[in-house]
Amino acid sequence: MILRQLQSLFKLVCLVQLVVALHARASDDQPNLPFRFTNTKTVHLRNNNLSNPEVIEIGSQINIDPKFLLENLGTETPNQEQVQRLLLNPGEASKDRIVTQRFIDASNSKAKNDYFFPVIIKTKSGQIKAGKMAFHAYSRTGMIEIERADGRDPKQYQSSEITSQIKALIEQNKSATESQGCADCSNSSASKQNQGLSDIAKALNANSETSTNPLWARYSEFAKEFSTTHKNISKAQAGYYKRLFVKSMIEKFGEKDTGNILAALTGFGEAPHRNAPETQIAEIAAVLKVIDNRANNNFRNKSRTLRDIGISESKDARLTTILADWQFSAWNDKDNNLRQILNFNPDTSDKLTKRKIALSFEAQTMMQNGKIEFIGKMNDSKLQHYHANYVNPTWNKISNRVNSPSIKVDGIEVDLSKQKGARHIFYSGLS
Amino acid sequence: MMTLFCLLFALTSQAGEFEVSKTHPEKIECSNKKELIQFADIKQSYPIYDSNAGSVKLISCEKMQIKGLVFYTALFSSEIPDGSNVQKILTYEVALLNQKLNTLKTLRSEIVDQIELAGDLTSTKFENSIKTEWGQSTKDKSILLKVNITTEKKTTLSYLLKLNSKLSWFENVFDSKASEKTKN
Repeated sequence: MILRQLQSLFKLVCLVQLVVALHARASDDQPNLPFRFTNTKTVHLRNNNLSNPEVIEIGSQINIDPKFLLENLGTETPNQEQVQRLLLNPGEASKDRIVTQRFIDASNSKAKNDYFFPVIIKTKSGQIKAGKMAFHAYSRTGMIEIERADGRDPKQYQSSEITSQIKALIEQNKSATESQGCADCSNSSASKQNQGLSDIAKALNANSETSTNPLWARYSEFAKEFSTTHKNISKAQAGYYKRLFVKSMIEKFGEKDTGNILAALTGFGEAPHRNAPETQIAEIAAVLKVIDNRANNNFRNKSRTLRDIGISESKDARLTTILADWQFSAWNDKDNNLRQILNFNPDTSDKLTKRKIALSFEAQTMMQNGKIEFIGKMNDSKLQHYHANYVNPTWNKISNRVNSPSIKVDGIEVDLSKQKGARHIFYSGLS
Repeated sequence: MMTLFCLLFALTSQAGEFEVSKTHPEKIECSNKKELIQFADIKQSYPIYDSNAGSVKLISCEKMQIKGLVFYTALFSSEIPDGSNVQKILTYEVALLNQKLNTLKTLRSEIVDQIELAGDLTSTKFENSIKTEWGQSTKDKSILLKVNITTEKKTTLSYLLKLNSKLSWFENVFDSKASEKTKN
């Protein structure tokens, strides 16, 4: 019974079936997605009444529905990287929610992993170890709470920022739970907004197969050629091939267009992976805005990458900005997004990656055509910083945070702080 | 397999340009105070390339004399904030000695390995190691540094760095055919 309940829950949320050895416990009859308490040892499934927790042990096996894999990755037999990416960036794969969160133990100044547990994923192609990761699941009818393995209050070990995020997450889901009474929510403003933006994305031919973006077409051709010549670039090789990639692109397109292409690819690497285009367009645009501001304000660090290929400073300020050391993680030598960029072949890529890269180019074109408007502090020329919402870097200052990061996409306003799954917190006025 | 073939191809064509130096680097004593490295036989300390780096831990230092130039190298680990996270990095740095002023200037700062300290940490131990060979180009006699990065899986990535004509940086040498394949 427990098994069937779990399966139905996860089909409901993300079409992922959980098959776990659970301790048999009674559960109440509510069919809604339960809580998951995540800690370093176990995951507790709870129903909406916070009663009758179920425990999933470390190393639980998770079966993934082959249809789900086929729909989202284009194959029933994905490799480890594809599965891991699907789960680590799960919004991409799910219209509902599976969300991974990473937290830092802030009891000392050093970042530390916490709230992670290993899972083994079974696919048609065999077992894949997904490694340690947080694996929360919730939906508009579910909630998340965090618990430490030692039973102490997690807030004692979290920075105030992360604590507020946890609270916000809980509040966000509470309000969603409270509003679940509306049988047809299509009249809600959020739904209207999302529908409107989905229409925009369709109208913009955001679908990579039909994109008419000329730069995307040129880049696609380049990526196909590069990835065909240099196949399966590994993590250790990525730094070397990044330099070749940039050098070859500059030789082919010149520094200005290379700046445009790398900006779009940065948007791809930085913005969250999601199924729906709405928040993606806005968040990619926000990343591009930060790049433009840094370039315009001469805010940039040294770039090993450019020096290593014989360019002390690029004529295109964005190029130097993007490739500056340790500024945009997608261009770090060992970053997984970098490997994805280098190995991207539009002919063989999974459709989600292809779609998201195409969408980044579309977002850029929309900005250039004035179809994206940044509101309030998001339009500040000193908007030069952001960080992922699961970390708490030392440089951030609450007073500089943009509390309502709002962006108008073709006339429709998106407040990123109110979008589920939006990944970044933006800052204006930090030097 | 294909990647290995491509690498082999690239290296074969590069190998023809590389002539191993008859002189070899010597291990030297070194120490550090924060981000400043003190090589045993130079009075002035050398600031590492990344000014944001902290928690520097020196692993080894070498001195190399070739074609009248004196180079100092250092292999060290450090921690660098990278926007959102903290990266623990293993760096191999090469510096050129200005023999008149007795100062050192960075000519290459090679990231050998990198671990993101925030997030899904299974280990903070570096997986990659580096070995270098000094030499010169058979084509234009410029100084070359052959870098061999070995991963935990025992695969090795090798590539050449060439000291540019201004003696200001060791730049990557790419196999010309590989570059040409991405051209129009």
